[in-house]
Amino acid sequence: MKKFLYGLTACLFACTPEINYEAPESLDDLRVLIISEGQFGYGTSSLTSLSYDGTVEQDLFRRINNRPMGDVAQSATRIGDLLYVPMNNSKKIEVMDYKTFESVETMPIDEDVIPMYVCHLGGDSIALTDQKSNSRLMIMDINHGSDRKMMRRSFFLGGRSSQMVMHNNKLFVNGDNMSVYDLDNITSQGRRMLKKKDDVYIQNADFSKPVVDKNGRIWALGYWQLICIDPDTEETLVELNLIDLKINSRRSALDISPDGKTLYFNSARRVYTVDVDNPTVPDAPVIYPQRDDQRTVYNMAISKENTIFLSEVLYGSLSRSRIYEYDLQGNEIRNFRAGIFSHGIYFY
Amino acid sequence: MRKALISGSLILSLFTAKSQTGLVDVDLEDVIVTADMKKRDEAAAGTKVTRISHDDIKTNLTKSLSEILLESSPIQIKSMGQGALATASFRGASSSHTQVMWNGISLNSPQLGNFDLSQVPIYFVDDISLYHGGSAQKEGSGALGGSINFSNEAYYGDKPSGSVLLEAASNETYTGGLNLKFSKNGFSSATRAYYQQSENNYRYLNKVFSNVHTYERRKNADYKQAGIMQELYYKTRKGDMLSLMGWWQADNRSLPQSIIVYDMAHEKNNSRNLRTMVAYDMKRKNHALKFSAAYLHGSMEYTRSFGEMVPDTSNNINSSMIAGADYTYSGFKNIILSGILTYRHDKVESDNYISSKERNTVNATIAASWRITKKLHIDARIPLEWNDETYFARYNVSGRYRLIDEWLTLKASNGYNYRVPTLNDLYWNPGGNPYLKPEKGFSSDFSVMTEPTFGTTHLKLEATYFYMNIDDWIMWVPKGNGYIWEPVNFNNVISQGIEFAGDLKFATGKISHIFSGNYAWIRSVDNSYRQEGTQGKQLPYIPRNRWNAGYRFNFNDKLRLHYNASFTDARFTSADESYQTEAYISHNAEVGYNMKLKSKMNIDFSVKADNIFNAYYESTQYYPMPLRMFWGRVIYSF
Repeated sequence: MKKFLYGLTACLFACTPEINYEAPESLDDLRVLIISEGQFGYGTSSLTSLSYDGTVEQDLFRRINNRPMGDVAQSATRIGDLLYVPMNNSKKIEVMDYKTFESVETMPIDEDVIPMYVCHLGGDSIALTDQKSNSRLMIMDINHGSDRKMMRRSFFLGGRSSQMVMHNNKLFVNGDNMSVYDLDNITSQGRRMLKKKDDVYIQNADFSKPVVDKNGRIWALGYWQLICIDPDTEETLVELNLIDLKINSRRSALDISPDGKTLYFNSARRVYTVDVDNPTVPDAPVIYPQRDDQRTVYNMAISKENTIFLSEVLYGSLSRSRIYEYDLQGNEIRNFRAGIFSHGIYFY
Repeated sequence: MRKALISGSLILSLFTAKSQTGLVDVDLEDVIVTADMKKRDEAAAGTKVTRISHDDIKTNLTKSLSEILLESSPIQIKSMGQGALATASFRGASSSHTQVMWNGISLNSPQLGNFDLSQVPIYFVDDISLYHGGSAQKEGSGALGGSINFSNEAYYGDKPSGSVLLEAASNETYTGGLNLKFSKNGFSSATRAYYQQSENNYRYLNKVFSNVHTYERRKNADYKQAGIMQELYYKTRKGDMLSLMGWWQADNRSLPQSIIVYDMAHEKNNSRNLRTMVAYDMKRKNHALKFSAAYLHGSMEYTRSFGEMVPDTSNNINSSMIAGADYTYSGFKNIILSGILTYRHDKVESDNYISSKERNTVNATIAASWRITKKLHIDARIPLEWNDETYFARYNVSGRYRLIDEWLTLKASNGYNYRVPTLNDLYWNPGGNPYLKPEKGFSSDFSVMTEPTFGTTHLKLEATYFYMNIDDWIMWVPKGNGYIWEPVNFNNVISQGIEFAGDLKFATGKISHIFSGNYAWIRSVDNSYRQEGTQGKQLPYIPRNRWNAGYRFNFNDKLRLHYNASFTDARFTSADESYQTEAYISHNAEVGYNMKLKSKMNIDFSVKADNIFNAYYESTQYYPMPLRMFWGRVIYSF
């Protein structure tokens, strides 16, 4: 009876019980990191890891830091030993150790922007893109040990901006258009819009990742086209018309093999390749896995082992994505669940 | 027999006239004894009913209906915070499966299907009853989970009565209320006015933005609420009652954002609601008849503004006309028969619809109540509904068997119910799905109850098992990459659970004590195969466990103390149970002193502390509720 009364009293007067998440035992041997947007507005962004031994760990950030990562994680960029993850509906960048995922810092962004992608400009500087229709390109200071202001400057681009690549001291920025800046003059005055061969601006490069091939040339998906740019002259060298393959930057991803020789892009589950030295429109996909489900490819990436990763989501649901890995013959190597709307696929 | 007839008549009839005399002997399980003809218990014999005590109502006069239900009932309340949207769900069902009735009129929005309980100040309420279960409601469909019934009572005192209320709270909430009642020659009037404004800038601990937990003050949560209610009653010499009621209310509120997102825009909701009704109750020998009509009009303006930019605005206007007649015949031995016919016309004009939409609903119900023996009572109802050229039928059978006098009573009910999609489900642009099917399914429950009395000690315990099986459950899910949502019919949801409720009342001299408590265990699972990893998982925002417990101390009707604790278990926020918001316990206490001045004049002082132990908690994930808060109140009454 006494025990019951003590228990009842403790129960009645206890304060709020807290959830303590269990951190993974080991994160050595990491191979792949999956960034999931989560459900818009619900703060369910997450990180999922795949180790070389096949171990999958879910929801790493929350389990390690005992708090949610934020709302709509968009991408991850490694700078030194740190990982920078912009959260576009929380208007912040989560900075964490790239191996342990322990939070190092949270960088709030007090601007009316939708932060998307980070690119390291060298030293203490990063560039941050914005998904707003009249987006800003932001130059920020990551020397968070000092009192220096984080936001150095920002300027409007007149359209959306997304993925970036830095090459030969130039910053190439994809967005509604494709633009380039000299590293020492990333300003609105220093912006140069890239054009196709017919002298028309490159359009709708917004969601695709610009990649650098073994020859140091820049490749990007544009409006139904695959485009190659000479980073020195900033002229378009190659234009492949992909309209028959139903490929454009809004629904397809672009990546490149680890040796920089082969480009990969997809139309749903069809994954095509192009040789960077002999670019022609491919006749058939290199892989075309067929499954009887209603999932849709949300992103594609090429691993360091030259295997193909597809992130597939089920539209019209709140459930988790499934990640598939294929070899170049189209054989499924593995599949595993990740977070909700998994978009980022990064390799260690 | 006379008792049985009177009792049965009152159980079943929505419109049965009941006079103040002659009801004292009826079974209190069946009716609420009041002077008000309009107020009656519609619940069938086997239905589980929770009545909120008048002490709880008195303690929470400046709170909303959602707040009192959270403290005093086992149902689940999902709230965005004080003054913000709050909805209720029964037994693992959704908020749109809860019918909210004001004096017998459904207030559920034809657009949303649910009702915002934060819009009901307890100051405007005299009585609150909850009917648990999918077929407890006598008229109208949709109450798959249950219904909340709040009502007003006519005043027939010798002298005018009234009160003035003033209250202030630590989150800069200020409340004023006025209540005037009088009656003469069968005529009765009650006027209530209420105003509450709040900066609502309470403190909370932000544990989600970064690793550094910081105390912050809630922003953009301010609101103003003003309302006036007028009741007029006229009772004829034959006992007929004419009732006229009008309730106007204005709510202007900012919409605070989730603390996991950072939106620099400001959102506001301004709503105006006018609710009117007229009813005439009459009884002649074995015949009872009631005619009623109501008109509801609501407008809601939503604005989203950012800096100097022109704000985005959308408007939604709802209007409903309801007319009904209810006839009861009690001329047969032990059997009461009744029939109800109601017509409802809903019209919605919304900037979010392509064009305005209307809905016509006709409901016809036939019912029988048979008191087979003194101990056994059975009710049966068959409501038929015509809804924009679609016909539906449902049924409910329930019974109560008093096995061992007040020591052991068994109750059971079974029924088939449905809910038609709301107009938003069908026509919202973008996302509305005109091909949705109605939700439908069976529900059953079984209760065991004991209610012994020992001298001045009264004990009531009730345990209930319930089971619901709902097909074509409607749920909004993201379309595409989640920016647009659409409603879909899920295959099947099964909800079952156990509820316990108890009260212990006793007095020692001038001191009275009341202990009360509720506990609910609910397993409400998605049985569809639409999404990977969600089969057999608990539905979002349905806690598996919920309990509350309270103690009231009263000394000579002067000094009083009330202590209440309520626990809500963790609630999953995703369909695959991978995300959840934490469980919480909230403790509240009130001390009050009633000072009698001269005849019937009183001044009542009270101080209340909410969330005494400063617990961080959320009702909706990432919408933090206040840390410890204090309220001070004075009421002058005569």
